[in-house]
Parts: sequence; C-alpha cells; structure tokens
Amino acid sequence: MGTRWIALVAALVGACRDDSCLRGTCNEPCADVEFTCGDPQPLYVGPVASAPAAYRLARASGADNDTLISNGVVSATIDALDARYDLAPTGGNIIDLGPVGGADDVNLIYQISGILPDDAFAYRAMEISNAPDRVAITLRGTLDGRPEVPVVTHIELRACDRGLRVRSEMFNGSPDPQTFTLADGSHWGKRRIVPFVPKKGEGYSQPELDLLELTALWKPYDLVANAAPSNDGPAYASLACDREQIEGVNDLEISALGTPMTIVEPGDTLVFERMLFAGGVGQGPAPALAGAVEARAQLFATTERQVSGRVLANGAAFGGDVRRASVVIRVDGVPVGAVVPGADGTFATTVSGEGPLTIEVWSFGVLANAFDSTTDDVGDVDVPAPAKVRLRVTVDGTPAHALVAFHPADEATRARVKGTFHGRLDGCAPWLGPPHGASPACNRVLVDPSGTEIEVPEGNYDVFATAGPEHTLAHTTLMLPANAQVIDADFAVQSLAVAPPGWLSADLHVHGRASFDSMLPDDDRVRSFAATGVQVIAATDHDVIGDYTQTVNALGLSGRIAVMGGLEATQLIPWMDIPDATLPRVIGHFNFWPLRRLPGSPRAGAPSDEYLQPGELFDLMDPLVGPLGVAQLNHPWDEPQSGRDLGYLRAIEFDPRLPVDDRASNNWMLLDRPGGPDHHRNADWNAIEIINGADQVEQQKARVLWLSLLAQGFVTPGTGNSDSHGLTDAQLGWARNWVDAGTSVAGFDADAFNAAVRAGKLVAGNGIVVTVEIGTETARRGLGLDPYAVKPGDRLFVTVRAAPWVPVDEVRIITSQGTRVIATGLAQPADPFGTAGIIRYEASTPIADLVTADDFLIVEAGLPYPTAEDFDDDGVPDTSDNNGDGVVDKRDIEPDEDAGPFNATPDPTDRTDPRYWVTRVVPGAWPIGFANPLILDIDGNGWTPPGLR
Amino acid sequence: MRRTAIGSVAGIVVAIATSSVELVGVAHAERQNAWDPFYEYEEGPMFEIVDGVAHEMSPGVTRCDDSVIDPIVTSLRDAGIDAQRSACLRSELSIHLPVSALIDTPGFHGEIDGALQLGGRFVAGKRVELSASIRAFRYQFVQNAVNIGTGAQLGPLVLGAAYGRRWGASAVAIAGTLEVPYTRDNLDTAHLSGALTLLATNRLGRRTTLHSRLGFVGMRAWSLGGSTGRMAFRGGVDIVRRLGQRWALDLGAEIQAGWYDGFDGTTIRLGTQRHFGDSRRYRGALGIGLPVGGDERTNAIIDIGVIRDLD
Repeated sequence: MGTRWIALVAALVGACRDDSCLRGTCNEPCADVEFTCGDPQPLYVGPVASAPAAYRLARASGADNDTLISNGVVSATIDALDARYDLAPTGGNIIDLGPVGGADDVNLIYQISGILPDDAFAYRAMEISNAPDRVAITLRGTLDGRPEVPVVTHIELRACDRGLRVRSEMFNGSPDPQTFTLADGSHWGKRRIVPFVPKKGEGYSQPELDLLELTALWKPYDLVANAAPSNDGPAYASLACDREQIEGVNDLEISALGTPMTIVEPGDTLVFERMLFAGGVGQGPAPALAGAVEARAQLFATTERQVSGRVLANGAAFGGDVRRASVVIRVDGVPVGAVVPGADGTFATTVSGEGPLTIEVWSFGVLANAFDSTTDDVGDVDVPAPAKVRLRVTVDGTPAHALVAFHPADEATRARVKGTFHGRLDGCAPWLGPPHGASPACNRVLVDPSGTEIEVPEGNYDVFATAGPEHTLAHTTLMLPANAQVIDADFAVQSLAVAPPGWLSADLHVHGRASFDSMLPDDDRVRSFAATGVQVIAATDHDVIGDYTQTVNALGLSGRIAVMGGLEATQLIPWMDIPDATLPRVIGHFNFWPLRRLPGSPRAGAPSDEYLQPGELFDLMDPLVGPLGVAQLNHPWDEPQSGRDLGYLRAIEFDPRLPVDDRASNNWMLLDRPGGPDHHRNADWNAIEIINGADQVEQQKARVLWLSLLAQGFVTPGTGNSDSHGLTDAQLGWARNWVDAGTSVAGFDADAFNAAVRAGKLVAGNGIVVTVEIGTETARRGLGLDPYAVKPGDRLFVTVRAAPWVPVDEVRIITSQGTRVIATGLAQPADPFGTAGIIRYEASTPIADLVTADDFLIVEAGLPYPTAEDFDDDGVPDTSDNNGDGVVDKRDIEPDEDAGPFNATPDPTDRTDPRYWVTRVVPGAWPIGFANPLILDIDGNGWTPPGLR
Repeated sequence: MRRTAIGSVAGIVVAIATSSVELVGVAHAERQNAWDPFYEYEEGPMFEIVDGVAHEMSPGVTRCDDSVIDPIVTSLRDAGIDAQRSACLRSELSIHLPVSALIDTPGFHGEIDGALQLGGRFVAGKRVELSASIRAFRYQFVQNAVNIGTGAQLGPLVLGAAYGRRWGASAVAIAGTLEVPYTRDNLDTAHLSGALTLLATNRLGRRTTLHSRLGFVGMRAWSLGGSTGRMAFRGGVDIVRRLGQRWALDLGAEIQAGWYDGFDGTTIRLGTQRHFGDSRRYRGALGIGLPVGGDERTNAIIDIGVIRDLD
C-alpha cells in the first residue's frame, strides 16, 4: 500500500514538473554518462561557414548557414530550418555526423513517429545554447501536418563526448490514441552503411526492411552500430540512455531506432534519450561501438572487455584495408564487435559480454580464419596471402584508363574466391573489394595509365580489359599463386570506328558520392568516365547539384571529358493523390542540366523539389538551366522503391493505349499546367530516358510509353543512360548516347550540345550505334525532330555498327503502325577480340515501303527483345520468363502478386552465347541501339501525328 | 411549487430533445403487479407539455419501476464517461463489455478498443444515487499505417452521483460522473474526465418510454510534455418500446458537438434489453451505436451488458 502511495505521489510530481524540453527546460540528455579525455578541445556551435576548419568533416554536405556543433571529438551539422534536406519535411536535422578529422557518411538523421510523411518531426524553431561546459541546439515544432502533436529535440555536446547527447519529446494533443514510436530515422540511401548489431544470430546479418511488416520487425537491441565497408568511412552507433534497450529496424537503406511502438493516449508524452556516436576512419564499427559500450557500462553496469590481436598473411602484417581483413568478435557465440585491423595488422576494441571468445577473420570476402580464444589478447591470426597483380592497359599503344574484370577460370577457383562482405551486400567472384565502393569493387578494377597494382586471391582467372564499346575487348588468363612476386598483366585494346566521326558519346544520367545512394569516391567516378570512353557527362546527383569538373582537372582529363553540372530532382515525400490509389505518391525522377554548382548553398544550389508537379518543377528549373537546358524524364516506368515512385508515367498510371486527353484515365494529367495557363505542362520535358542501364528491362517498358506519346504528337528525343551509382550497380556509359553536336570536348559548347539533344540529333545504345539518314544517294538529311517532307524516291539509309564483342542480331523499324524486323540473323564477327566486322548492317529502303502517311520512324538494332507480358493490363509489359521455361505465363509471376517481376535476363555461362563476351565486362548487358525518330511528312502539308493505332 | 419547477426543467429537456414537438403525456397508475405479462397502466392525465411548458403534473408510479426500459449504453468517450442512462435512480451491479472501432482509411489510422467495465450504483436515500465503475481490463489495438500497437490496461475508476425525482410515470435527474485521477495503470499521465447531464424519462405510450438527456462531457490529461483537453455538448433521446414483459427495444439518437472542435455527429443508437432469470432481476443488454454526419472518428460502438437489479 505504501509503495502505491509513493508511486502516486511520484507520478503527481512528475506530471507537474516543468523540466521537460516541451515545457521549456531541457536538462542534459544522458546525464549519467561522462567521458573524459586528456586534452579537451574547444566547443563550437554556430554557422558552418564560421566553424574551425579542423572541425569540418570530409564529404560533409552542410551549407554555410547550417549549424555545426562540435567538441573537437565529433562534429555534426544541423541543416537550417528553411533548407530541408532529403526525407525530412523541414530543416533542423542531422545531415552530417562524424569524428573530427574524419569523414561523414550520413545522409540524414531525422526524428520520426512512423513511416507516413506526417509522422516526421517538422521543426519550426531553433535555439542555440553556448555555455562554457556545453553546446546545444534545441529544435521545436510539431509532427508534420499534425499541429496538435508538439515535438522537441535537444542535441548537446560536452567536452570529450564521443557522441551527441540527444533528447526528443513528443506530446499527443490529438483527440485519439496513436501508435507512435519516437525514433531516429537514418537514411543511409544506398551508401551501404552496413549495420552491425551485437545480438545473438545477428551481427552483420540484419533482416531486410519490409515496411508493411514494420511492427513485426521492430526489435530491441542493446546498441546498434553502422559502418561502411570502406577505408575512409566512420563508424556510428546508437545507444538508448533512458531505457535499457533501443528498439527498431536496421536496414541497409534506412534504419529507425528509438522507443518501442507505443500506444500514446491523448495527453501522453513520449520521451527518448540516446547518444549517437561517431568515430574512426576505415576501422569498421569498432570505434563507435567502443564508445557505446563504455556509455552503456556507465548507465547499466554492464561489463566491458578489451579484445586485441594481430592479423598476418604469410608471416607479414596484413591489414589497413577492409578487403584484406575484417574481424568479427563473438562472445559466447554472440557477435559483439567488428573491427578492421590497422596497417600493422593489429586490432583492439572494446566489447561487452562475458564468456568464451571466438574470432572470425574475413579476407577478400571469405571467412579466412575462425578460432576460439581463452584470452582477450588473441595473439596472431593467419590468413591466406593474396597474389599481387600489376594491371596495365594501352589503347592504340598508349597507356590509358581502362576497366579490368576478373572471372574465375575454373569452378575450383570460383568456389574458393566467391565472397561477400560478411554475408552482406552482393556476392562476387572474386571479391576484390566491397561492390559499392571504390575500386577494386567486386571483380572490377579501374586501371590508371600508370598501371594499377591490386591484390587478388590465389586462383586461375579469365581477365578482360575494356575501354568502352568503341574499342576492342582484351583478354588474358592468369594463374595467380599465393605469395608470389607481383605479376604483370598487360592488355592492349584498339579503338574502333563505331561512332560517326565528330559525334560525342555522352552519359546523361550519372551519380557519384554526392548522391544519397552512392559510395563511389569522386576520383573513381571520374576515372570510370575515362575508363569507359565517355566524353560528355551530365552529373545528375539526387537533389544536389553535382559537378566533377574539379576532379576531372585534377586527374588531367579535362581534354578528354566534358562535365555538365546537373541534378536528378528526386521527390522523397509522398504527397500526390492519384484517383483510386491508396497511398500518396511522388512524381518520380527528372534530370536537369546544365546547372552551376553553388558550394556553400543548401544542396549546392539545387532548389527544394518536394510537393511539386512536373510542370511546376519545370517552371522552377527554367531559369537555372537556361533556354537550352534539358529536362529529362528518367526511367518513366521504373518500379517504386520504399514507397517512392521513380517514374512519373508509372506514378500517374499513364495508359499508353489511351489518348493523352482521356479524362476517364489519368492521362489528362500530362496536359495539366499546375503553375497556370502560361506555365509548363506536366508533359513538357525535353527528353525521355528510354534505355536505363545495360539491360533491356526499362527499355521495353519505356519505349511503349514513348511510342504512344510520339504517335499523339508529343515529340521528344529518347536517350540512353547508365544511371550508374558505382562500379557494379550499372556500368558507366552503358547505355550512352552519341550526339551530333557539332562541338568537341576541347572547347566544349554546352549550348550547342544541349541544342542537339533537344533537337533529337542523337542515337543511343548499349554498345550499338544505329545511324540513320533520309533522302537520296546524293542529298540526305540526318537525324532531327523537325518534320521531313518526304519526296518521291526518298530512301531510308541505315548503318549499324558495333564492336566485335557486342552482338547484333536484327534491325527493326518502328512506326505508329508497329514494329517491323527488316533484317535478322546478322552475322557476328568471327573474332570477338578482333577489329574486323564493325559494320553489322548497312542498307537503304524506300520510304514508301515503310510508311504511307504522316508518321514517326525509329530504327532499332540489337538482340531480339526477350518475351514479356502485361498481366496487369496497364499497357506496359510487367513479367518476364522468370522460370526459364521459354514462355511467359502466370507461373512466372511472383507468389501473392498479380504480375511481375520483369527481370533482366541472366548472364550466360556458355561461351557460344552471343552475350557471353559483352557480359564479361558489362554484367546484365542486352545490346540494343536506336536512332531517334524521323518525323515524316508524307503528304507535304505539314506533319500530322498519326494517333494511336 | 418546487415540484412544478422541476417538472418544468424536465419538460424543457424533453422539448429541446424532440425539437419542440408538442407532446402530450398521459398519467398512468400502475397495476399492482409490474411483472404481469399483460402489464398495463391506468389511464389518467399526468402532465402535458405544449411548446416546452409543463402544464400539469401529478404524482404517481413511474416507468422507472421496470429497469428494462433503461436506455442502452453506447459510450463514445474513454472509460464510458458519457455512458447513457435514464433519469431513474437505481441500485444495480453491472458488467459491460464495450467495444468500439475507428477505421480511418484515408488517414491510415485504426483503433479497436474493448473493455471490461464493472460498475455499481446505489440509491442512497430517496433522491440520490451514488455510483462507481472501474475498467477492470482494457484491450487496445491502435494502428497508424504500419505502426501497430496493442496494449492491456487497468483503470480508471469513475465515480458518479445523481439527484432525481419522480412524478408519476416520469422522472428527472441530474447526473454527474468523474474519473478519479491516477487510477489508471499509466501513472505518467494524469487524467481527469467527467460528464454532467440533465436527464428525463417520460411515458410516450402504453409500451413506449422516452429518455432524453442534455449535458456536457469533458476530459483533461496532463503529462510531462503538456496537457490537452476536450469538451463536448451532448444531447440525446431514446425511445424504448417494450415487447411483452421481458423485452424492450431501444431506438435513439445522440448528438455531440465540440469534442473535435466542431459538430461531432449524431450517433444512431439501436439496442435491446431483456430480463432473464426467474427472478427477473437480471438483464442482458445489447447496444449498437453508429456515429454519422460529423467529425466523430469512431465508426461503431457495441456494448454488451449484464445487469443485476438490486432494487
């Protein structure tokens, strides 16, 4: 009874006290945690522009007016309230976090109560506190769109703190009970910041996030860490202070960690205190884990222990690179720590837990050694030594940038070298490095003109070198013994006259480290431009203006590569209501170029693009890209990711079988001018991306939409781009465009180039160049979207070129009346590594044999399209032959689905398969090329769109 | 004089609740055996209301003598603070199983709330009734999009009091309920809620009874981060038709306004009660409420009750 009364009194006092942030007083979060250090550094909180240079993080995205908070140990940037970033509805969130002297791998850490847009904290006020013993930032607001739910987050740093102290509160002033969490949502994007959770059966193995099963996946953890498998990335860790465990999910793309899912009654307050740790440079999760373990020991009297050892290969220290050695420490079978040894092979880290130790050492993606230890100093650990290879590639006899791909030459080697990063990320054989990061990545290596030395696990390999589709393919076989001296592997490739002289090859959809879903360093990004022979790049990072010019110049490539600053406008906050759709949507992705990067401005000058229809976005971007700038509709039917639409036409459920002005469908939305009568239509893009990546999946979908729009008079050029984010997800320059721009890389004229793109004077393809002219033997016109008045006797002249290692089987002509194959069974060059047989098809056909009325005409060449079906009856193919039985039927549909998936065709293993050689260097490649449409005015009275068939 | 005044209040309540429709009440005297299957009343003028004014009243036996004519319960608010009742003072013990559902598809929000509510009320003296109820168990399912929360709770304790009078077949009362703070198992938040209601119970016909009510319901909750409150005006009528000796059917409507800062809606109420057991001291009650036409977010309420009369 007495206890009950004490509880009642305590509760009464608790309810009446005013020491909550929401009521105005923020006490120190995690007050029971204290860190000491030998040399406390000055505290700083204030504008990024005024922050000590030493406190700024490499790769940070904070703008000048954002707020940096630092204690000389860790630094974080809070974006300005009016400069929202990424998924957050407002500023006031952590956009950079890392150890001082290190780098930032964070896209965004923001506070959420659920997954809906109105579950995000929207901050409206920021207070900065600068006291001698602490610096703090307090952010106040409400849930976005729920003014009855006030929220506050208080971020504080004291001297020597190894992480941010954070306290958030939210109060349910709504009339209804709500199920909320109070969590930090960390958007890692596809940067592959791999979570590590010290919990039985977990460690690096985390369940994939399924948003529909969020509650079931929401689990308690003592603490959680993250680190990219890179040599320069920091480690992060989260630890709850006001409860023994932190709860949530840890996905590669997004993690959410906070309180349990809680029913919050009207009048209830939800509070969450935690520390967000950052530390280390390329040491795996250990540096941040150690801080969290130490804090947890102070809070909950848990145990700490120091585990140390040294990794050797062939008796020599072996470390300093996540490729060489990555150690997982288990206590009583539970993975409690992970660390990358230093260059001297040693490792030492603090972990928690009592019991016997097990040490696992992974090297080149495979478990190289595992043993039990009775002592915390585990001593020396041996792993197999790799072979060393020096790669050199010449193009026409001159040392050059190139890409080299390793493939196991026998099954024994494949079995031995097939690896992953501790079972995570994509598997590779051989695993020369984390697939999403710097070179070597997966089985691919960027080679510099001076040669590149790498380590490769012992085995026999087929090794291929490429400098792009306008060059020959080089091949050698290497037998690599362990512990050998450096073995030289020299490759010679020849340039080929695949593209018309003077045309520029261009990839107009390229991402790098500035994008929230790329981990590829700028250096490697630019080296990949050179290695694949692309001459013009539109740097189109997500929601930030990218521009690699500085790196291009630094690498001495300015005469070979022209870069246009650009942007991929990427809405992330669902808002658009589509009739009969359950969930709100976003408009998908649009590229804009050229743009000028503005360092120091939010998103480097990219405007906020949320909540805008495409027409409004075009209005917004017009003055930035100028009158000759390009707005490109990207991957128009790509599948949504994490509930975010990637393609506008899919988002609005455009039906290509119906007229654009059809009011019974959503097609009419294309004609809408959301900005007003004098503003852009939603259909006013200047180009549409038809090929996205090396395979044909997006092309099969996009061309259906493009052809429908062309037939109805919406004439825009099609492009082909890689949408590459790294060295393995999609290979740069596959696909690419060849543009008849009348300019060159030296003295590049962006206006002339973009004018040519807008005018449709380009072809696109995955290794295949289709050139088209119209007229007579003596008077011809090339590509262009201006209507061509067809004269009697006019012919269509078609030439198809490709390197010998790129297969071409047929040539097709597409008009509004359908597709006609005009040549099939084209001969393949006998020697895939030779120089002969580039011209695969060259012929002319009377126009009168092809069209009889005004129409458009597109020429395609390549392999026949794999069969696909439209099972969901939306006019766009959705399902491929997924069970490999030669037909596409309902058995190919994924369980519990009505349609799909539409998968890329697997790479062949049979050397006689026509795709075998190209897929050695361009995984997934399905060679296809097309020339942009000719607009044919047959009756001579101006072009009339032919309409839908 | 005093009796007339109270009668006038009752008349006003009824008149407002029925939109000032002219009602003519007829006094009845009950036969000696209220449980007679051919239960009837003596005819005789009781009172007349014309344009909301009580013209004549006379003492007599009331409908209150048979609890089966009490209105069914379809409470919208937490802990049954706004549970419907008649103007009749009673001594009884009750168990209620209220279940409510809120399905807001566009807002990705849903709730299912079920409880076991134990209550008792007792006539203390001639005109005063005291009551207490406790939510002995509550199960909640609350979903915000993919956030799913379930929980079991205990409490709160709700105390009540009513003051009432009878005139012949009619009764009027004023009743109040109050949630006792810190009687929930979540002690981080203090809750105070209550309702104050004017009640009238009148005879409409030989087998038909009219219940009307007018009042306020409110709540306030405090916790670390702040406080919030809600208040609503409420008014309602129920027409209860007896079907033989044991059965009664209830059709009613109740409006609330203010809880959601506007017109909350009209709850269409349908239910039945039945005596069971040889002694007829037990009742089973089933009530269904369907809020329509306003901002009210609850879609449906079902209440199953078992009541033991102690009179």
